[in-house]
Amino acid sequence: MKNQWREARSAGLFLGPGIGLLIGFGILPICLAVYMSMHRWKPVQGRFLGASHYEKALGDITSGLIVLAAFSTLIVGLWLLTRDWRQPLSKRALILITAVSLVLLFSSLLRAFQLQNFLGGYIEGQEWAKDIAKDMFIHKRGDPSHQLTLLNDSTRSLMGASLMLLICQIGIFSAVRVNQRKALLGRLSGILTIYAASQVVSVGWRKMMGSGDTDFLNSLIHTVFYSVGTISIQVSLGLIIAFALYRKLRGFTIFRFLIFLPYVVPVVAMATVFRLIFGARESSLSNQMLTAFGGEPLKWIVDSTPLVSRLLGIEIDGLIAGPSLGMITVILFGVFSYTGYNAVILLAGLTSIPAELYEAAEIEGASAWQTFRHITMPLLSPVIFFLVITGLIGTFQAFTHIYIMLGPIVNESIHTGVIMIWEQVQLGKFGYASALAVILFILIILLTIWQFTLFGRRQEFGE
Amino acid sequence: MSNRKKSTKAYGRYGILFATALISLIPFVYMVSVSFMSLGEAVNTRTLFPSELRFENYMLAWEQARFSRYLFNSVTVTIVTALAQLVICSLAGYAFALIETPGRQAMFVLVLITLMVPEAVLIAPLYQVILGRVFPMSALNGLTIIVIGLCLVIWISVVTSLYNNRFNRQLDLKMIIPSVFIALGLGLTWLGFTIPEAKKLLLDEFADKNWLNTYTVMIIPFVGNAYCIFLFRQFFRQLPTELWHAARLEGANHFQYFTQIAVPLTLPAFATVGLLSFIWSWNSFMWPRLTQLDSRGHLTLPVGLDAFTRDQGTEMHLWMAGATITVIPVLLLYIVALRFFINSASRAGFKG
Repeated sequence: MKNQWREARSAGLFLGPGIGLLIGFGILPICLAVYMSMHRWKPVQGRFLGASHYEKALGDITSGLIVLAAFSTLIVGLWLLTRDWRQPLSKRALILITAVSLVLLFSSLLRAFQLQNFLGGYIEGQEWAKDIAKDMFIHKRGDPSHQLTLLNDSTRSLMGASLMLLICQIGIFSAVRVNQRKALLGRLSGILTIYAASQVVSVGWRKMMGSGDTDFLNSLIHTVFYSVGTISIQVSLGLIIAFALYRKLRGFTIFRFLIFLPYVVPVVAMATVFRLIFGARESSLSNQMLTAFGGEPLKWIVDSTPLVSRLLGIEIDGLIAGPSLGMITVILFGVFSYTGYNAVILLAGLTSIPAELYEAAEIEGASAWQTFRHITMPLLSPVIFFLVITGLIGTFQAFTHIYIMLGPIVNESIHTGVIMIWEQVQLGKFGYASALAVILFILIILLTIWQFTLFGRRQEFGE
Repeated sequence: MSNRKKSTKAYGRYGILFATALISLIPFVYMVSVSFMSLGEAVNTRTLFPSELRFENYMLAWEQARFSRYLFNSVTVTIVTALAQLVICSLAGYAFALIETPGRQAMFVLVLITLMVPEAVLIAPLYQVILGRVFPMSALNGLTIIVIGLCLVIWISVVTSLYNNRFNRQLDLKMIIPSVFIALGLGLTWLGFTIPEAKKLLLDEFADKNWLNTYTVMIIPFVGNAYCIFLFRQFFRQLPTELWHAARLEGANHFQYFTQIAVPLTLPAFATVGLLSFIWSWNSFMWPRLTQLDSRGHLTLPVGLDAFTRDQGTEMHLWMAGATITVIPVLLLYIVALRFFINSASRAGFKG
């Protein structure tokens, strides 16, 4: 008894300072953030507002929730598509999946019918169709350019249809290989789910854009550009470099030293250097290189035109417009500073693959590609999964280098979520800033969960 | 045939590696060479290298742009944070690993929750806390000195126990890390009492006001770091439990076991975590930028560099000199301890 009390006392003494500081500066601020987001708080506490900060950010909360739900369904669809159908499926899951896909199929048919009806009315020039156009297809409040947004919408449908075709082909191809009717059915329902859910997402998103904080919603899109751009490039480049560093090599240490270097140095210093290298001046290093190879000098970080509009010469916005040149510069910085880290982690993963497996494959007469596909990739996939997850969490919090590279210039196209939060804090709108921060936090958690449902099950994760 | 194939493959590998190494070097070369140029050269670069080396750029940055001050601030904040973090988090990690007590699991869940929270979520509420709008913050002004005092006491007991260890009563390699920390801590304290300006800064920390524009605000919120606690828990769990049982039979309590056996056995872990907290604290930007508003007195190097580029819109050669000053300490450490860097980074990651 006395002994137990002594244990508890020493536990208290050991844990006290650490846990106390952690609660004081980690847990309590989260609770305070939720509390602040429900109050008018600029810059001191005002009256209770309830959810209206969230409404201001997301438009109406119902459509936000619908978009989230549809996104989750999209993940279910992807899971259906990529699942190994030779393994049995529980009955409850099957019923759930069928119900979800039926509901979504119905809603997408409804939407297709509505769209056709509406397009007919619009072409005939009827008033009600124009009203709906004003209602549904306007992105920014008070934006008079219906036709552009209508163009935007039809491009999106076209892209959706072609994407569906592509996924269909992939699904059928892989189903035939598995050679099972169940697999074909499952994959087809997966495709339908994906298509319908993406339709719901696009409609709900447009509704949110119509009534919510467009700056914030756009900043989420920019965050997605940054996240997808950096993670995909840095992991694939890291893989190539890891392969180049793998096995015996003269000068291994010096190469590893140099490749890891950009990851180590302070972000602020390197971002300042990048701000000069990719400056808009004609004499900046990047522009000089371009002109030396006979190109035109570019505006780099200042440029805010979306890539697709620049290439096709039309004005569109939203997700399909693609990142601006400014965002691409930011992505370049991300790739520059993180590729070395990815390469080193992947190299550690490569070296942990036992050599006997490769020897066995060689004896069996496997080609280089087969070895890569059936030995290296499966054994390396937990490492890649780890890098993607941590990269996702990291890129959604990206702030410092974007803030530094922006400097005093105004370029909305590289404003990410955290930059928006920072700006609200600078304006003294602490309540609204906390609401945005809470939304971003929930988004990060959801993304992590989705990642785990999609890929996590196939990795054997040891602690 | 296969030999030739192998050699072309090797050329390919070297090609890739040379290209990557070159790309990762170019910004550094550019930074250093622009930092030696004159303003005209820097704005209108036609060559990559300066016509003559102008060391006076560094003198300008060092004195007029106050980079000397920023360096001092950065070193102070980083060392105090790392020192305090190591002690406080290793204590908590030890308790999570070895002390059986009710409520331990629940508290560990708290630690795991804070692990996931982005800094951006914390800035708005923490700022309110710092301003004293939620809680009278000036009541906690002595917290820094309590935390640092606790850390010094524990480090000193670790070093004396290492020295009194029956088997090696001499200075060896293992002792260097804790001794360095003690020397740094004592040195800083001594500096604080001898240099009048530093003494004023120290007294300023305890003035009856909120925490804006102090060192405390850059140190205390980061001392209880969830990741450090987690890593220390992992390290202390690797110690065999027989050791603890044997020590208890001999009549040792937890504190004695911690300072005399557990810490000496896990010194590499201390180096790993110490390096991590050094890098985190040295690179930290968002929170110092938010809380250091009016005075230039407390800016760390990254924030100082940012403030300088915002004020001096065109003096690029001086920007680059400042950036070089910011990079050099980390670079030196990286050259000395490459292996530790890669080890630490693969455990936790330095950024975001």
